[in-house]
Amino acid sequence: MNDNKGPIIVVADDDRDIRDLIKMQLSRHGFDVHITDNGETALELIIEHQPVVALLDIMMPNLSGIEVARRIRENPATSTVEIMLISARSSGPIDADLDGIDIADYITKPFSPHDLVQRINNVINREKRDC
Amino acid sequence: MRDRIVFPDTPVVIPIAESNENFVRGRSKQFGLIALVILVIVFAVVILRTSDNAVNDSEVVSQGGSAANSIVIVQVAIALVAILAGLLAFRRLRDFRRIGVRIDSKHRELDELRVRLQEVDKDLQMRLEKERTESADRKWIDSGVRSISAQFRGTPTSEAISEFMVEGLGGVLRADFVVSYSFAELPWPRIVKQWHQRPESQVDESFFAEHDSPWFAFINRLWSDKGVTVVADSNHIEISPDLIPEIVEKMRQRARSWVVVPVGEGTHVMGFVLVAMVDNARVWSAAEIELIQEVSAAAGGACIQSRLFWQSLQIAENDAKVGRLVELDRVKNDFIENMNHELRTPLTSIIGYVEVALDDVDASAEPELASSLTAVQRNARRLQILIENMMQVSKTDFEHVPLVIATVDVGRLLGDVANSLHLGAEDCGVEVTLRLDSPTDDLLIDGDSSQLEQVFVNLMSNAIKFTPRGGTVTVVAHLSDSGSGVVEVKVKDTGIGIPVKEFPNVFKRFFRASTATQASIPGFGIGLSLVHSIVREHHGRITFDSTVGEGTVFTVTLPTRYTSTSQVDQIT
Repeated sequence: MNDNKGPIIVVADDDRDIRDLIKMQLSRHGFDVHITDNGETALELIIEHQPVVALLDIMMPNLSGIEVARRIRENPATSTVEIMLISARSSGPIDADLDGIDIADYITKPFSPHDLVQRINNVINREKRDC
Repeated sequence: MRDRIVFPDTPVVIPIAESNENFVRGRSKQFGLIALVILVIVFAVVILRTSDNAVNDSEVVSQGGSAANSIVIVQVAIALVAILAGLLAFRRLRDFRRIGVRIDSKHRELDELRVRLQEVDKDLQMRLEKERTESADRKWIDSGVRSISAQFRGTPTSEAISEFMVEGLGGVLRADFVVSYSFAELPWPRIVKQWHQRPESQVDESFFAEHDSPWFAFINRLWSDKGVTVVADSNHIEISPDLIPEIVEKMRQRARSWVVVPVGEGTHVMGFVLVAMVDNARVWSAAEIELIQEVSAAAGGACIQSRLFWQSLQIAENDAKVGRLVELDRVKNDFIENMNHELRTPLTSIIGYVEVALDDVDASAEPELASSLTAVQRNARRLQILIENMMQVSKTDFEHVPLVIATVDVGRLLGDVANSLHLGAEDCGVEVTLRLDSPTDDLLIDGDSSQLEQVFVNLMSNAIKFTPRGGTVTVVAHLSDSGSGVVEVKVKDTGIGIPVKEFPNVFKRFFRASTATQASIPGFGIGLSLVHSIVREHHGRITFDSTVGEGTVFTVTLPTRYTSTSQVDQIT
């Protein structure tokens, strides 16, 4: 039902307003956005849609964004997906938290929607260059 | 040391044997002499008798010659026997007299011995009496010490110990007053406790503190000499070297008779005890002085023990307090972290939706809506900076946040910050200009981008905040020294300025310039302190200059290469 053929993004955030805001902003900029409020569904959506970028909130109940990221990397079917983490923590995640998981970018709340689009584009373009 | 009666080691020799020997020797000589005299006398008598007979011979012969001769022989024999008997009696008499003399001398010897015995007996009695007194004294001292120091048990405070001591000594010794002094606050003794038979003899704190008194030196010396000062009557006193005239003069104002006993431990003198009579002279007995010494020593020991006990209790209490504080601190940090999250989440929606909405608003068609949304955005941004700073403060206070070092494009970072603030600046009528005087590639440094962003957000938002309408904020960045690799960023405003006398406080937390508070410009006074600590963490420098009414310029210099001992290995 979605005609948008833009880059696929999966977004997981337990705050509905932020989730909707991200979907609205990214859709306006031509992305194919799939949203969820939890980590488990996010993993399913990622396997199902094979997105370019997975945008994950770190602080989610049950499965944290970092745990989702780790499972994405562990699954060969999803290991190439670019991961961007969103957090309400003021500084970036420390290496110990990430435990070597490859993260493309890290966005802190509150963020500017313009800035978000730009940073997603940076990640996608970098990936294109790499290929 | 106690006096003892010393008996002579050598016994007194009475020369009986010697005199006896002399007596025997003398007697044999005398016997010879006497025997000779007797023989001479006997012959003389016999010759005299024969001549008489010759004269009267005719008469005698006529009456019968043989009968007359036998009578003469008998007479001579009788005379000889009589002489012999006389001699024997005489000898006996002399012997008796000699024996009498000997008995007399024995009597004298006996008398002498009796006198000596009496002396010895008297000595013994005296010794017994002395021992009795001493043991009575000892008992009195012991019971006094026991009854007073029994109260020191159960580790009461030093003050309570002093109180028990002065009351106990006062009661037992029937003194007029007893004062316990401490040298806790040198150089003057402080009164810990005093006890008075009569209230008017109360001594006040200033009694010893009035003069630059030599009390400490005096008591200290007394302590090291293990001595005491005893004054029986201050009206008749000989100033000996151990009595300091000033102290005696001072004491005289209050007492007529007194004892001063120092109290201490090891080489350390703690204070002293003063026991005194106000009006009466008093001869203080050795036992009384000993009692004061022993009680004060017990009190001194108890005070030390008590101090140690209370200190150990204090330490345990402090440990418990520290434990509670650590726990409270953890709870507080958890709370702050939680609040941080809870504040940022709604703020994300506010900032995000306003930004998206502003994209849709045609400012020329709907100017009021546009400016309203801008106001929301500006205030949301202000709120964001506040939250960032608050979080940073709580972090730098309680945990060391390691820098996440990566390459930071200072030119771009400054551009982003200027862009995020320019709407607010526009509203305030302040023009913000950013100028990069070096190619952007020269402005790449090693650093923590989120923390450095905070540095420039704070410096620029401050500059905008403190600059009146119509003013300017100029940000200039350049590679100041390509050799050592230092990027310099200047943030210059035409604001209200900081008074020179407040310069030393600028980077102190919660400092707010008087010019800012007078102008009612809001703030918490944490931004610059954070800037300062972040720049220092990056091994950079921050300086400033300011003129009230003209403006302020902050200069930040950051090394392009970040090195620290812990991170050297990571930088290749």
